[in-house]
Amino acid sequence: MRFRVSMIVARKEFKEIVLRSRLILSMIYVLPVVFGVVMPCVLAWISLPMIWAPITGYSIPPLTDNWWLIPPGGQFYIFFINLYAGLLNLVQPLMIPVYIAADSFAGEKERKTLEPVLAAPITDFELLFGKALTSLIPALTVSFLSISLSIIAVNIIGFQVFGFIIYPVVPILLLYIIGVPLMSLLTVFAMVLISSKVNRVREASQVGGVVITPVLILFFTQIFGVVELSMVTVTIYILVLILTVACLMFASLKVFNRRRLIEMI
Amino acid sequence: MASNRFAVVLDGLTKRFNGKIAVDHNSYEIEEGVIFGLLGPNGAGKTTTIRLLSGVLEPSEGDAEVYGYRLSNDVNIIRSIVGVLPENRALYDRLTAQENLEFYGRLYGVEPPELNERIESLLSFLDLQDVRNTFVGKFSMGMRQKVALARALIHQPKLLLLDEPTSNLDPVMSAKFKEYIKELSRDLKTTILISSHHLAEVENLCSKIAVINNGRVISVGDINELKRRIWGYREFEIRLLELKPDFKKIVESISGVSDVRYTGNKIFYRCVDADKVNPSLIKALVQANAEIISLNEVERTLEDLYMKLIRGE
Ligand SMILES: Nc1ncnc2c1ncn2[C@@H]1O[C@H](COP(=O)(O)OP(=O)(O)O)[C@@H](O)[C@H]1O
Ligand SMILES: [Mg+2]
Repeated sequence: MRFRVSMIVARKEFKEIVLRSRLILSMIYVLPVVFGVVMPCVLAWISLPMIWAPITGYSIPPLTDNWWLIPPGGQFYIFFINLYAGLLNLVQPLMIPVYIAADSFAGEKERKTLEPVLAAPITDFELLFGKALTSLIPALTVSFLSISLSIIAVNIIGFQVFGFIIYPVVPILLLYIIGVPLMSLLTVFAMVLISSKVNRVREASQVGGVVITPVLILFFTQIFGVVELSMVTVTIYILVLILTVACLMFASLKVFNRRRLIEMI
Repeated sequence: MASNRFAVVLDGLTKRFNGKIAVDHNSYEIEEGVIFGLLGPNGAGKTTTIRLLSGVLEPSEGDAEVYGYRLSNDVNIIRSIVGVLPENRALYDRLTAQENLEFYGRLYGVEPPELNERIESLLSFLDLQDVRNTFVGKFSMGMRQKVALARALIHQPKLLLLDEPTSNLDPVMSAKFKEYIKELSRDLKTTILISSHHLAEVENLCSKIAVINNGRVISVGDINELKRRIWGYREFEIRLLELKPDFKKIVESISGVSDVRYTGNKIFYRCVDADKVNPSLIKALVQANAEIISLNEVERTLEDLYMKLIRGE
């Protein structure tokens, strides 16, 4: 495995797919602004009346031990903001790779450009890794940029009221640090599998929408109070994510080999 | 060391797709530095052969050797010394000509400044400098073909595989393209394999050919030798200033001459051993005061050869 060779593939695809696709470029520019700044701010702002008795004087970032000191309204406000800002930011590591990977995997098939690549001295894994990087690098860059922006934006509003950093709470922070890369990986591998079955970029990206499911599950179980947004829940969630990614990776490696790839040419 | 004279040795090379045979136990050799023609009608197995030799497909059976490396053992080394112009050209439409070449150059381990020099010389060799920064998606068929050829040459391969390189080209473009190929062969001594179903296209380009049909090799060898072997005789044409009745008697009396025909001032005849027949025939005619303007071999086109081989006509 030569990392250099994978980077050559990733650089080419970044130019070909990311820089020359209006859809993907606009996602990269618009998502951090809308999902990272505008929507969390609007939510944080219009939800302020939820807090009956604003409190000050505590500065315990991120919120854990002194939870009991906050009035119930404030607790709910913090829970609510964390959940929604979390949802908005967890959609990106899942959705951005859908479009890039659809173009990278199904697109190569649709345009029939793979033969000279297969004739070059590159291994299946180097090619797969390069294509994965094509999706992962922009997706993670945008996601973390958006997360950072949302942290600044939400706390500018929240800090005035609470006097401490209200977002992200530890479970959400954990989802951001460990969950985000895992979610992008999950999408990439899911797209490898989807692209092996369909022949068109459009089809692949439409089917690829299913990757949003894990984050919807997380969101709705919280909203309806099925489970708490606790460290335990998030840890279990991350463990399930790791397991899923491992399975998908295993399946992807099986599908993405020269013997199968030649069917694309 | 004998095998070193061969750039390519096919050794029972076979490819099946779901049980259906596409290349059927092919065995032949391609000498170093020649332009070799792989001829056959559509579906004969030309593209499959090229994909096998370029390390894209895995043989179902048999093996091949490229510059001493075996497909079965050293396919990655073979990939690095073979350049291929695939049937569907397969360029990245959303990259410029230059970007396409840069990517493939790097993939083969060619790095700047060497990479830039090679791209520069290939672009100028193929008259592509003016469009280097144009997206390949906007190119005409001929230009695409040239970019794809440049791509196949970027790592200076020892063996170049060209799949129907002149199809889709107009006659002028096609002639130009063939000039490039000849120049390559002359200047770089690259071994070149050209596949074609259009025989006139390769007749003046290739010294040796293999004719395949339904995956099987029908005939391999030097074009002229092949013609001789297939027809078993050669045909000549003598042009005279004046054709006198005596001359007819003289021609017909020479042993080894057969199938004599006369049209105007021309004599047509066939013989097997031209080295013996022609000198004695000319001598006899000159002694009879015949004024000979020219003696030519009647050329058969590869088309004729092809028909004879494949259809047995
Ligand atoms: N990937 C493939 N799957 C199944 N059959 C194939 C495949 N590629 C080629 N064939 C079959 O193999 C035979 C030879 O095809 P090909 O090598 O493309 O011929 P040519 O290039 O001489 O026209 C044809 O009958 C073709 O249908
Ligand atoms: Mg073909």
